[in-house]
Amino acid sequence: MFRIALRRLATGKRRLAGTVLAVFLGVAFLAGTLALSDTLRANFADLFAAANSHTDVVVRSAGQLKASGDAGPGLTQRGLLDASVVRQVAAVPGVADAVADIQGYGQILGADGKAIGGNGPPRLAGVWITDPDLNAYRLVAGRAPSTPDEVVVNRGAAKAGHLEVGDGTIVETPEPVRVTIVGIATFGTADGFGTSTFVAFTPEGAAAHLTKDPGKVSRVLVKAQPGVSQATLAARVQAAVPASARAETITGAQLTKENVDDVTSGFLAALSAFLLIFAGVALLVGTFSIYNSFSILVAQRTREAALLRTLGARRRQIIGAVLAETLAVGVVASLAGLVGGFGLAGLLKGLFDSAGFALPAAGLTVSATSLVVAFAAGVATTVVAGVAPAVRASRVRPLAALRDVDVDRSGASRARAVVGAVLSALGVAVVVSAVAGHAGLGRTGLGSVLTLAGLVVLGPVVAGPAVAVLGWPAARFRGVTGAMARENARRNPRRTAGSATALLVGVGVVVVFTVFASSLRASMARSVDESFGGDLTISAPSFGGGLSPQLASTVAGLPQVTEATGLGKGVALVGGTAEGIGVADVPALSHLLRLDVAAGTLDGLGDGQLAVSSDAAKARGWHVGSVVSVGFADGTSRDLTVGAVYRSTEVAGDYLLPRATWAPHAPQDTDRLVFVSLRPGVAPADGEAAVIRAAVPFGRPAVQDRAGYVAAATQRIDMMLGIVYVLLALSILIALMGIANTLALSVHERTRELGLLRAVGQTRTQVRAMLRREAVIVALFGTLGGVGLGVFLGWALVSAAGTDVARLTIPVGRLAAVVVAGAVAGVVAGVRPGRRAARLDVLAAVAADAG
Amino acid sequence: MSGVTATRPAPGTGGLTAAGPGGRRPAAAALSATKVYGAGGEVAVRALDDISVEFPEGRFTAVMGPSGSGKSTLLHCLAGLDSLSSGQIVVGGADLGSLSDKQLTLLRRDRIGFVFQSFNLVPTLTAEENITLPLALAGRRPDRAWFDEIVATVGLADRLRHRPSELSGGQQQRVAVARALVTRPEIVLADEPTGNLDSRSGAEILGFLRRAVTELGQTVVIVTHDPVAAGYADAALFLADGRLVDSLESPTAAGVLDRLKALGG
Repeated sequence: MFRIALRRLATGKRRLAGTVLAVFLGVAFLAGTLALSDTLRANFADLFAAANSHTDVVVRSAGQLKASGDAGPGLTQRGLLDASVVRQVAAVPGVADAVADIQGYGQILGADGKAIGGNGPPRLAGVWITDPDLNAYRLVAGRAPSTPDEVVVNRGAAKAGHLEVGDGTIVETPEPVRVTIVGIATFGTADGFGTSTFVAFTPEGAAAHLTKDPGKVSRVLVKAQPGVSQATLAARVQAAVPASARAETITGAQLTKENVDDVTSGFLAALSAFLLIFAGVALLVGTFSIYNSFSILVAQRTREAALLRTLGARRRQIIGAVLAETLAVGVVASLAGLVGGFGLAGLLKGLFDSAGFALPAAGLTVSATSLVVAFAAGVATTVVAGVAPAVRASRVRPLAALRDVDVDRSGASRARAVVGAVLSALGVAVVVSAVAGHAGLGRTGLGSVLTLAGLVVLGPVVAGPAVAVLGWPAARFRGVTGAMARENARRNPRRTAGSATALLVGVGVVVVFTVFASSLRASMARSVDESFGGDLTISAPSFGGGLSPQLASTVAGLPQVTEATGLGKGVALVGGTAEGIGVADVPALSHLLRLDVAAGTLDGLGDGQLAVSSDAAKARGWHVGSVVSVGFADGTSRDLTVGAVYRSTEVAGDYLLPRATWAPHAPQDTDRLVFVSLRPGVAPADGEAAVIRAAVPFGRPAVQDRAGYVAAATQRIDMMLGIVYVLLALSILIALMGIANTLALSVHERTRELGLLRAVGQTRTQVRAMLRREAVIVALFGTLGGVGLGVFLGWALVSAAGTDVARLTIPVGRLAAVVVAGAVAGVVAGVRPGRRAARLDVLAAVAADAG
Repeated sequence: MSGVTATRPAPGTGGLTAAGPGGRRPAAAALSATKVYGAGGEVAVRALDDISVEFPEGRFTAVMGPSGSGKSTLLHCLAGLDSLSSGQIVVGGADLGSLSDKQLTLLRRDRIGFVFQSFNLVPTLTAEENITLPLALAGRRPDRAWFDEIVATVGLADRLRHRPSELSGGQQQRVAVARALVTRPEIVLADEPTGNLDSRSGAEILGFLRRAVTELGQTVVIVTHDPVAAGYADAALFLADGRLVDSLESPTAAGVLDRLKALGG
């Protein structure tokens, strides 16, 4: 039997090509995703290891605040150490060198005055450490800084900003600082620490611009004397530093591990999970495609299976032969997929690069685990998809060998209809009840899976009538060719449903994301529009940037401007938990941002008070007058009184602290946004021009009017949706290849019929049109099913997320575009089968054996 | 007795014909038709070897011969389904060799009716749709009177809404015959039309073809190896090894059998 399976593989290569391609693409996607994660992990590990290579012990503040969720500058905050610690550490026996390090934020402006760096990598500022063992950067041009306004920048930043030694520019810390570049450095031999930018001051410069306090340092870097181990030295240092310094001591190795773990468990884990979702969708879609292909192949070999049974083959042997075939396909395609994955990893990286997320992914590293996982997933998918067709093949009765194979209408059995309807109804009911009862995402997910399963079972039952309806225009207006296209799509409902299901899943996921993103965007746009009462905004780059608080005051001083105020973001321990907070001159902010006060007043909210959102107040049981303990990164804490409760959180977040309360604890206080209102009578264009001019020394941040701000606020959603579309494109491609493949197999099966049609006068053009229309009908069936499913699940997802996050918005235009795209894709899918059908030799076709 | 001779045609003459009394113009003709399979040399097979023959309008001709005699190839070439290596096929005044694939397809659709041995109906279409298929492909409406006449002739009036899978073999072949007649073609070609049928159904089909000629004035050529089938024809032509070797006017089953025996078929 095994030999038969192998012989089939050899002879049916072309028929299996579609299946192989589906497995190949799915595995390539999975392997590419895993390879990208591996590569990034390895690169980050290398980077941190290099950065800390000669640092044996690090002493730093024990106080650290980290808010979960949104990543941005200042959202992980560590306090500062007293500079006296440096001397105490230097005196410890076994210490060869101990230097003060200052770490902070510094945005370098390029020669054109624009901020350097994309949306993501940090803009680091620090101190130029003269001991080369404790400094991972190496000067490649110029010299070390010697005065507070001299700096060294990394080569990557210098290249990006067209800066050279001797050039003057501005570093925003976030106050604009005029500096002269005296040196250019590499990180080891690389242009920089990943894709981050780095600017190094003298210790005096760093203290002046970063810590704003010459008595404070970020950490102490320690080099051990030869023969003294990291652990030993760390223990000695720990003992030597007084408890009052609130310091913690770790070894260089621990620091590296911590850095790597931070990136791995945070950013990398999120990125991998995100990508794996889409690899999973691709594999799922592939499974349906593979299942369908094998079902057709098995059906076409009914006679052969029956003959084998007649000759004494046992059922188990028939199953074994089919599974052996699927196994071989799975192995070959998965191996190819692993190779393809390397290419795909590069493409994925390019995708994120083009969206502004520069990832440090030099070279390509793949762990054995990743290879095994991707390979196993591919093989398992293929074999699992082959089980049902194999069992079906084994059920062929020996007598079938003697009968002619007729049109297969077996798809629409009563049992199938009942099971499918029950499953779908159950799924819908679970989803609806989960939404109605606010049961959260878990039950919604369960309901979604049930609904999908129900639709898959129901597919063949629905396919007949659905195709009849969808094909009506073709049959009505395209004559007999259209009518035959419709009949062909109907003649085997199970097959039609099978190839449409793959597309249904792919399109369904696309639509879920589209609906969710549209809802999110619409509600965001609406609430931003509702809450923002000013005329202009100035915003920092999406990730990793900040604006100097001086910008707001500078703009406020313009004659065209009534009021201008900034909003910063930070992390604080609010009532015991680390939370992202907003920092502002709250009364001024309340003039420009409609915060929708529920209780208390924002006017006059000052030092010693805070404002909280109504959601947070409800969750914590706070009200106006409640006293809340707020802890800061520097380790101090303070009791604040709730002065107001507000409802609108879209821009301000859940907690608002007065700047006067916050600033003493945040050496590098930055604004993320500045709101501006113009004086009555000032033309908007004039006002905007004046603000843009005033913002020039601050790195030309984006100045937007209301519409522009709303657009920018929603742009991130669109960007993510764009990435999602690209990632889902592969799944859609697999689904379309499934349709093309199914059609090609049908063409093979209908060879004789096609020959007859040609013999009685169907032109080649008509043959192609017939197959094209069949493909379009099947594609539309899958697309419309996917749109329906996607809208339903999108609604469920939006509802589960809560109305304050998103209010359901059905993007009709986009959905229409999806349907049109589905039809066009059907046309494309029908091209190759159509061409093959049109090329058939009439006489040979008429004489051909069915199957 | 005019015209049916098995001699080689003189250059420039009409050559061998199956013409009936009155010498009407031929519906189709082959002129020095030669078909060689294989690349030439030793292995080349001459399926048709310089055959010249005319099929006059309004006649029922049976082409006979042992397997491999080239009779099916001749029919396929007449239908524009296969092409000659050399020589000419003319159907309704058109030289098939000069036509493009598209023109050939349209010729098959509009001017030739073809009946296969194995019915070859489109399984997704009803009997009526199968019959009118060539017209539908051309985007034309059937001439109702003509349609009714041929449906009545082949006795399918109560089966028009059925699909092929709901019809018996004989009924399916009747649909195929009706389809071949529906366009009023210049010529109806049938390749072993009774080969897959029992004798009673076969006799019916042959009766319909006979009536199509006698009552509807159609021209019919069938390929058969069944002497009984040839008995329905006005003339029988005998092929052997790709050559036209004999002919018989108003053949009877017994007479045909004698000739076939003489050919060693």
